[in-house]
Amino acid sequence: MSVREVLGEEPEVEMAEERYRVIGEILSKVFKGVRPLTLSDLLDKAFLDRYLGIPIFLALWWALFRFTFDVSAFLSDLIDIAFSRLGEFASSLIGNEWWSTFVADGICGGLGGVLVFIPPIFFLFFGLSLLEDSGYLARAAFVVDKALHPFGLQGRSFIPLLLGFGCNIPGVMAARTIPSERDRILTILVNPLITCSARLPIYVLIAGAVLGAYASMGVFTMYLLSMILALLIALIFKALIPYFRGRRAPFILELPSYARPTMRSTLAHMYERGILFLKKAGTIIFLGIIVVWLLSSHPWGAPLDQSYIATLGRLLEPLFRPLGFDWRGAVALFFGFIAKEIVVGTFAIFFGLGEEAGMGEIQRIIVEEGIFTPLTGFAFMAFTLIYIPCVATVGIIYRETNSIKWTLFTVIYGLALAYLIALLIVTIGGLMGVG
Amino acid sequence: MVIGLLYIASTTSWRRYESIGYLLVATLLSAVFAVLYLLIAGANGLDSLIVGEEWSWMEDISRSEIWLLPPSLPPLIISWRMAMRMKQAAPFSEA
Repeated sequence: MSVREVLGEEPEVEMAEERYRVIGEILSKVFKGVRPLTLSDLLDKAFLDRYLGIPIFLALWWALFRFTFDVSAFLSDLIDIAFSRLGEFASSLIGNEWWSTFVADGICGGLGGVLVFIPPIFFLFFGLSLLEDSGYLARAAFVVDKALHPFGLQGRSFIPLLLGFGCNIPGVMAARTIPSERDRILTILVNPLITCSARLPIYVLIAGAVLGAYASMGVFTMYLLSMILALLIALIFKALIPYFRGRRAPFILELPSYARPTMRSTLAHMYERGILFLKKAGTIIFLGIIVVWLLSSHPWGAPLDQSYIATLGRLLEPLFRPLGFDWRGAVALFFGFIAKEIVVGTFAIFFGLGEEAGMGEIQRIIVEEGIFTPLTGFAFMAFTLIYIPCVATVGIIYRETNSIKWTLFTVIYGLALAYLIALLIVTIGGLMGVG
Repeated sequence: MVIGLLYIASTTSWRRYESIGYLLVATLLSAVFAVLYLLIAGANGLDSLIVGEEWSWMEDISRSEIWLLPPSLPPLIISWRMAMRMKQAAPFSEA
């Protein structure tokens, strides 16, 4: 017989109730009269307001989102430029062409690609630490818990999901605040479905090229689809996967009093959490980027369309044909596994325009060469939204779940779901006569 | 909009201690957004310097969020003082 069966309630709930019963007894013996209202009580009137609680939470989340990605952007640019110049400098010093390209594009490009994630991650954890140390984060989880309950998620899942709109890496990392392992893993698994900001340039490129006057609506649909899929998939996983099935973990939350966060503790929290990104994920991300560089640069001296990556693209082409993507689409998606930003640059390289080519120029060639129709372009956007998250996110998922099983599951279900949705779009669209 | 709703909510419980909570949170949000958009303006300035692009500083500092903070301070100070005077007469209580 389990503890729950004996108590008739979850042990955590029983312990919390008993603790507060004892506290109540002691207080009634020690204090007389009515309890004075504290500043925390007054603030809770607004922060936990039935109608305003969620809007306040969304406003503060929006502020955290802007702080994480906008305020840190100049530091990311600085790192990007510094590594780019370091690469140029290193290649000018090395005589051998292979080694010079390896150091410049592979090591410096790869390392720069990893380190640009550091500012937003540290800024995110600084903001989260501020909210946590002030006592608000516990209230935020309490406020949104009810809304997420029908989808099998809990209050603390909301922050990781919303942060995913900026970047899935901090989104997945923010799931650490969820104590229940089951809820934490479920939140991590659906996080890649939240469309990160890196996917936006792909939507803009393809929608602008093939959707014409409906381009904005096409991009907006991707955001809508992202939210619907994340909640729906959480619900499906909860219902179908035995690990997630069963009673929902009790959501017991002791609301701490509000406090003024100190800079020292906030910075310490930020450092403790942020440094893990460098220690744990840096190696995986870095190695992944090096491997792809090797694949895209070999056979040495061959043009891109004869590289191993292009060979792979042609091997994948039959799989993507039912979706209307040719080998260039397949290779762009493959490069997108490294970082979604690379997809736009990949198309530019295919057209011989260079990575710095304007978006209008790339869109013109996409239309002229008939790479996508409005329907296949929309399917490509949906596929980009759903399929494998970038290599950095996969690395972080592995580190955060500490499970190769869940990491592979995320990659495989993402691919399968992306294929299914893209195929549905192409098939239904085709039946409706959409070109 | 959220800040405005908080001010409206504070008027529904006017002359009760709860209104201070709404006013405090409204001012806190005003301060958060004012500081945030000042930081974004500064970051945009630095970014322009780094990338070598022109910085449209007028656009950055004319954000309404920045200018919302000063007008929100007087109502907060007045209500806080009023509450402190009322507190001396009768301590805050749930009764």
